[in-house]
Amino acid sequence: MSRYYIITIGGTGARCLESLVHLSASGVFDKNVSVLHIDADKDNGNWGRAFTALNHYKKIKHLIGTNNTDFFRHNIGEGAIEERRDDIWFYPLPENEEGGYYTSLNNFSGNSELTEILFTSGIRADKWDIGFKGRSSLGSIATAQAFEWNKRPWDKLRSDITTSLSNSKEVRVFFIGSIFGGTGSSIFPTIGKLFDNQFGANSNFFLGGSILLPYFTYTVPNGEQDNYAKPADFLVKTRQHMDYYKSLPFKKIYMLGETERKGVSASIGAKDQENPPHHLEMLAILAANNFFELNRDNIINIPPTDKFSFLGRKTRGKVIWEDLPELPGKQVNETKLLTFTTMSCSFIGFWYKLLRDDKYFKRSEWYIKHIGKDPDIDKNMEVLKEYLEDYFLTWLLGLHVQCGERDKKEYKDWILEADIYKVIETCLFSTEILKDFLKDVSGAGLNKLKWRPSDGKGGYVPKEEDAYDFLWKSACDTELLERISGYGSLSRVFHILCETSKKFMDINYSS
Amino acid sequence: MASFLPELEGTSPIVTGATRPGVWYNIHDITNDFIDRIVTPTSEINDTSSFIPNMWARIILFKKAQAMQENPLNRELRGLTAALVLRKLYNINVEFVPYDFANSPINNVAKTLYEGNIDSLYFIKINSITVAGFMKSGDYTGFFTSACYALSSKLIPWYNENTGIFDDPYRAETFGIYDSALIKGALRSWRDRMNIQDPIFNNWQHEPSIICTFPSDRIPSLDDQHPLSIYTSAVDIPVKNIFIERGEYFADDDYVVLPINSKGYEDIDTYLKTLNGTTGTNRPAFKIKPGGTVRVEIDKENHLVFEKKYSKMEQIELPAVCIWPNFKADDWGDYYVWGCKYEKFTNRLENNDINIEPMYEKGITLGGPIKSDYSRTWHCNKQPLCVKVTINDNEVGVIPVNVADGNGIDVNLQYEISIDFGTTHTVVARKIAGDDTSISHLNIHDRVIWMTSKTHNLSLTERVATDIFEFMERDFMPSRGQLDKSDSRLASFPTLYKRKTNQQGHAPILDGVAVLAKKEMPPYSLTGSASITDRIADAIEKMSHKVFVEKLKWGHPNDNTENNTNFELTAYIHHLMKLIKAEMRYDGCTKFKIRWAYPIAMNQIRQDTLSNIFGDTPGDKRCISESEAIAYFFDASINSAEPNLIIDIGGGTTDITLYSKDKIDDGKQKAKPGLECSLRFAGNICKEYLIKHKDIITDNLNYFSGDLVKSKEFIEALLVAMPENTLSVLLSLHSGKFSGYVDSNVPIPKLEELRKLIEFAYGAIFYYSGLMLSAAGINPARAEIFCAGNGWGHVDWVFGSNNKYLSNDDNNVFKSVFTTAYKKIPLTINNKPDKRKFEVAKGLLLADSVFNKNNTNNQKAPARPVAGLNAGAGVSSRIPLAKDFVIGEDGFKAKNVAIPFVTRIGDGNNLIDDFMPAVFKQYDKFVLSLTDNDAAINHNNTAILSSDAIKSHVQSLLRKNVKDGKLLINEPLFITIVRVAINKIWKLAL
Repeated sequence: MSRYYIITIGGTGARCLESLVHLSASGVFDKNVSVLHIDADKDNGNWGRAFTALNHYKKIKHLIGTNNTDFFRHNIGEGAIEERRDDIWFYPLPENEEGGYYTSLNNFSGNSELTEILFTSGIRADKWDIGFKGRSSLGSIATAQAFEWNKRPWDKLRSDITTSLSNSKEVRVFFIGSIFGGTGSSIFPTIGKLFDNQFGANSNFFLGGSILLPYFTYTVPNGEQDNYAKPADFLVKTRQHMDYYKSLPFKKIYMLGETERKGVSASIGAKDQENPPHHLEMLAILAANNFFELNRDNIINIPPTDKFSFLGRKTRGKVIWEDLPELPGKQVNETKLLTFTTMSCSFIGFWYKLLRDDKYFKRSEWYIKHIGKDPDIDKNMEVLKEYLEDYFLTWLLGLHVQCGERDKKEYKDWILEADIYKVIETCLFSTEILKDFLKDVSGAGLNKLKWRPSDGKGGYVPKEEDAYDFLWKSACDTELLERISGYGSLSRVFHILCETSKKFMDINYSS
Repeated sequence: MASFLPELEGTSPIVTGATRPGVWYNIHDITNDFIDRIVTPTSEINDTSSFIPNMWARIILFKKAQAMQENPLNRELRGLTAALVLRKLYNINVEFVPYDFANSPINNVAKTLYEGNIDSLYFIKINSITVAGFMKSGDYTGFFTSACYALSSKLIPWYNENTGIFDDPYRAETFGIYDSALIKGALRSWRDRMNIQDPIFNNWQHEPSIICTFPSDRIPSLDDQHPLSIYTSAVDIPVKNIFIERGEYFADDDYVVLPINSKGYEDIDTYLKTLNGTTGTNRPAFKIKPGGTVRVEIDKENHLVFEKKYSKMEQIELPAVCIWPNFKADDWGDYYVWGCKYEKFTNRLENNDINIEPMYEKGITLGGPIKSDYSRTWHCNKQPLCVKVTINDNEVGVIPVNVADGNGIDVNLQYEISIDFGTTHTVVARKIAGDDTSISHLNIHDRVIWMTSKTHNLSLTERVATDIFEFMERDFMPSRGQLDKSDSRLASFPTLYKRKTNQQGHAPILDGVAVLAKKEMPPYSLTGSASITDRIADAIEKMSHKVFVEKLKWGHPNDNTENNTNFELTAYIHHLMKLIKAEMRYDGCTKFKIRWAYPIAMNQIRQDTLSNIFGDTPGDKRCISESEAIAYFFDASINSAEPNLIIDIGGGTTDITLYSKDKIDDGKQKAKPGLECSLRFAGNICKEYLIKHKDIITDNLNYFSGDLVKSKEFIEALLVAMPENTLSVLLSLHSGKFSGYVDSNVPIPKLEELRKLIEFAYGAIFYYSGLMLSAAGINPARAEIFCAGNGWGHVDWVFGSNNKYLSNDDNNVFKSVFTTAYKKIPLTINNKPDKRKFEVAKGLLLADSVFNKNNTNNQKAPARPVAGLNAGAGVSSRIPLAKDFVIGEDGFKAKNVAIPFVTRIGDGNNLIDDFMPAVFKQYDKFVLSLTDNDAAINHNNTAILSSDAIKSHVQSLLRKNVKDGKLLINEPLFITIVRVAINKIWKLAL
C-alpha cells in the first residue's frame, strides 16, 4: 500500500489544504493522506481556516466512524482526533541563538560581503517573518537554513517515509504552492530538492507537485508598496520561476493558472489574510489525486520532456463539471459533490432543527429508535453543522461567487445577504430558489446542480411541503443500522442523511 | 483549446491534439511552448534577481543573460566591462579580491544552494567599493555585477547615479558627447583587437541604428523621383505571369514594388517591342484589367518595376542591389554583386524574409556570398544575368542587369602608376609610359551600377554599415573574399565641406577627383532617430582610414610579428589595385608599371611588407622613399644639381631630408639621401590646439547647417575625428569669415596665441633641422623647403595668407630660427606647389627621366629590388650618418646613437641661447620645470622660473644625456621639450 503526502506551502497552499478537506469530506478525494503545511506567516488567516476545517473533519470522522458512504471516509493526517498545529506545520525561518527567529537576511547573515554583493540593502533588510513578499531568493535562504531533518516536523516525516520505503512501500509526496509570490515559489524548489537529496535515490520514492500560476490580484494600498508583493510582477516572476523550475527533480509538475485574475483584498499577511476560495485550489488537489493514481510504471517512465502538465478546459473564463479531471474510469466528482451538498443543505435546513428543537419529534418512534437518549447528540450535531455551514458550504459558495474585490467582511456580508439560513431552509424544496442559490453567480460554472423536472413517470414533482414529506418518508424507509460500538447516535443519523440524500439525488439529479 | 493557464502569446496550441476538457496534457517543450509565451507586462522591473528562488539568483540571471543579446543585465555587464577596459583612461582603481567561503551559516547555505561546486569567487572593487564579482564554477564562469553599488559618475561617466548601475557606455547619454564618442571608439577598438566573440558585446561595433537618413518607411510614390519610375507604361499580361502575388503580407492601401519573374520579364520585353515608336514619357499608360491591376514602370534602360495597389497589403521593398564595375568585357573577370536590405538595417538580411541571389550563366565561377550582418557580396568572373529575389524562399522575380560594353583594349597603351601613401590620404597618379607630360591623377570613378532604386540613396554611412570591406560609395572593396578576416576595416571620411559645397576634397584614395565628393554626410544630418552621440561616434569610426594608415606607419613594431598589419595593408592595396585596374581597363589599358613610395620613417619590416604585397602585382615595380621621390620631383622641376634640404611638414609627421646627387661607381648619378629624419610632430599640434579652443573656428563650422554645430561637444568630437588634411580644407574654405578676423587687425586673442604656437612649434622644426645640418657637418648649397604636407595647410589659414605660401613675416620667423641653429647659409623658402601631395606621386613617375637626364650614359635608373630594401642599393647608398639620424620607428627602440653633434656640448658655446632663440621669449611666462626622468610639467613655479631658468634647465637636461663625451639620443629630445612647452601653453590657456 502506498503512502501519500501532501505538503502545502504559503497562503495558496493553505487554501488548497482546505480544499483537500472538503474534497475528502465529499469523497471526491479518496485516499488516506498525510499533510504538512509550510508558512512563514504564523498567523496567516488562510492557514488558520484550513487548520480548523481539518480538525472539524477529523472530529466528524471520529464521531461517525467507519461508514459505507463516500463521505468522511479517509484519513487526513494521522490518527489523532485533533491535530496539533505544530505537528503539521513548519516555520521556514532560521532560529537564532536566543531561541527566537532571524527576521531578515541582515539579521541572519550579519555584514556578510557575500549577501551584500548578491542583494540590495533593501532586500537584505526586508522583514521576512510575515512572508517573503515576493522575494523568493530570500525564502530559499531562510528555508535552507531552517530546514533540518532532525527537527520537528521533519523528523517524524522522515521516519515515516523511511519506514515505508524500507518496507518496499511506495511513497509519493506532492507539493502544492503558488509560484508568483514569494513563499511558495521559494520553498517549493528548495524543500523539493532537499527531499530529493534524502530519498530520491530510492526507486519507490516519487516527487510531484502542483504549481499555481497567477490567478488573483489585488490593489496595493497607496504608500504601502514596500509591504506587498506587487501584482504587476506576478507574470514576470512566473516566467523567471518557471525557467528555474525546469531543472527541479520532480517527476511531475501540474501547472494551474487563469487568464482572468480575480481581485482580492490586499493583505500583508497574518490573520488579516483570508482569501476566498478558488477553483484552481480545488484543481490542485485533483492534480494530487491524479499523481497518486498514476501507475507505477508510468510514473517511472515519465520522460523529462513530459514533466510539466496542464489541464484542458471547455471554455475560457468558465468552469464546468467537464473541466474537473476525473480519475481514470470514474465519473464521480459531480455526483459526490452534489450529493454531499444536498446532504449538507438538508441537514442544515431540515434535520438539524428537527432533531434539536422539535420536542414532539423527539417523542417519535423514529427518534427514539435511532437516537434515543444520546446526551451528546446536540453537541455532536453542532460540530457537523459548524463544519458544513461555516466551512464546506461557505467554501462551495465561495467557489461560485469568487467574490471579486470583496474583502473579508464584505464576503461574510454577502453570504448573509444571501441569507444562507433562509436559503437552505427553503432552497432544497424550491426549484427557483435552489437555482438561484446554485446558479453560476460569477459565470464560472457548477450550474448543473438543478432540480430535475418532472417527467410524469414517477419523477418527484417538487413542492415545498412535499419535500419534507419525501425526506421524512425516505428517512423512515432507511434501514436501521446496527449500533456501532464506540460511536454515538450521530453516526446513525449521518448514515440516514446520506441515504436520503442519495435517494433524493437519484430521483432529482441523475441524468 | 482553452486551458487552465495564464494568457499566452500566439494562437498556436500549447500541445497539438490537446482537445478534451478535464484532461491533463504534457507540455513537451516547456520553454518554447509555455514560458516564452507567457504574456508579461511591459514595465521594467529593477530587482528581478530577488524573484529567483535561489540565493544565487543573480548568478542565475547573468548566466541566462549570456544567451540573450539584449538583456538589461548585459547592458550593465557591458558597463562593468567598459570600466575594466578603460580603467587606465579614467584612472579607475580596480582590485580583484578572492572571497573566502569560511565556515559560517550563510556560507554553508550558499554552498548548499549553488548548483555544483564553486571553484572560486572574486569580488571586483573599484575604489574599494564592491561593484561586481567574478564566479568560476562548473555552472557558470563569468562576471556579474553587484546588486547595489554606489559610485560617482564623475569617476565613471557611464555610471548612472539615478539608477545606481552601470549603463552601457555605448548607449549612455549621461556624459558628454565628446567623452561618449571617444569611449565608443575605444570600446569598438577593444572588441576588435581582443577578438571578442561574445554576442553580448555585439553592440560594440558599428551600430546599425545610426542609419538615420533612410527614406521613410514607405517606399516613395512612383510619382516621386524614383529612378525606376520615370516612365509609365502598361502591359496586357496576366498579373500572375509577371510576379507572384503575396497579398497576405500587405495592408490596406499600401503600395508595393516587386520585381518581376523571369517569365514576366520576357513577356513584357516582348510586348514592349510591339509598342511602335512609343518611347520615354510618350509611352501610353494604361492599366491591366480588374482583378490584376498592375502598372509597369520602365526606366530609361528598360528596367521594369511594377506598382500594384492591393486591397490588403503591407509594403515590401526591394533590396538595394548593385554591381561593380560598370562595364563588361571578355577579358575582365572581376565582378561583384552587392545586396542589402535597406529598409531597416536593424533587420538583418538573414532574419528578413527577403533574399537575393545573382543568377549566372552555366559554367561561371561564382564566389560567395560573403555574408555580413546586413548584406551579401558575390564575386564572379562574368557579369551576372540578373538578381533573383525571393520572399520566404519563394521566388518573386528578378532584377535585370544591364551593363554596357567596355572599351576595346589598346595593345599599345601602357600606364605607369605611382602611389603615395600618406598619413591622411593616398595619392594615385599615372602617366602614359614614356610621356612625362601626361602625368595626372588617376581618377577613380564611381563604377557602381545600381540595379534597384537609388532614390533610397544608401548614403555613405549606410553603406559603410554593411561592411566597409565589401562596399564603399565609389570604392568597391572586394578584398575581404580573399582575406577572410573581419577585424579590420577601411573607411574614408570625406572632407566635411563637401557636404555643403559639393567641392572636391580628400579621401583615402585621393585621385585628383575627390572620392565620395558627391555624397552627403549622413551622420551629421538631423533627420532620423540616431542620437547625436551615435552619429559622432559613427563619424569617428569613419576616421579609421587614418587610424589604419597610422597603424601601418606608426603602430607598435610588435604588430609586425602578427599578421594584422600585413592583412590590413594587403587588403588595402588589393582593394586599391582593383580600383586602379578597373580604371585602366576602362581606358582600354591592361599593361602597367607600379611605383610606390614609403614614408622614410617606416621601418624595414614595414617596407618589406609593402614590397611583398606589391610583389604580387604583375608588371614592372619600383619603390623608393617619399623623400627620394620629392628629390626627383625637385630635380625635375627646379632642375638643380645642388643638394636640397627638404622639410616636409605633414599631417602627422615631419620629414627632414637632405638629398644630394652623387656619383656612384658605374658613373651614373642619382639622387641620394644625405640625411633623413622623421618626427612625429607636425600639423597635428594645430588640430589639437583647436580642439581646446574650438571657438576660433566656430564661425567656420557654422557653415554647416543644423543644430549639431551649436553643440560644443559635437564640434569637439568632430575635430578629434577630423584628419589634419580635412581640417586644413575646412578652415580655408570659409576664408571670408575667418580671414575677417585676420584682416581686421583685431585677431581674437586665441588666434594670436595659435599663431605664436605655430611659430614656436614649426620654428622648432626649423631649428632642429638647422641643428642637424650643423651637427652633421653637411653643407648643402641650398636649403629648400618642400612645402608639402597638411601641416602647411594650417599655416596658411592661421596666418591668413590662404595663398599657398607663407607670408614674408612668417618666412622670416622660420628662416631666422633655422639660421640661428645653422649659421652657414640662409634658408630659402619657395612657393609651394598647388598639389603638394600629388608631387610625391609625380616624383615617382619622373624618377626615370630625372635619372636619365643626369646620367651621361642615358641609362634608366636601376629599379630597386622589390623585397630588397634591407641590403639593396637604396640602403647602401645612404650616407651612414644619415642612417643614424633616422628617427623613425626603429629610432624608438631606444637604440643609442652617437653623433658628432656632441662636440658642441662642451665647447663653451652658448648652446642654450641657440636653443631658445629670441623669437620664443614671449613664452617665458609658460614655465617649464622638467623633471630629470621625463618631461612632466610642474605648473606651480611660474613666479620663480624666468626664461633664463628655463634655458638653464634645458641645458642641464641635455648634459644629462651626455655619456662619454657623446650625446645619447633615443628620440629627438629637442622635440620632446617643444612638446612639453606646447602642452604647457595649452593647459595654461584653457
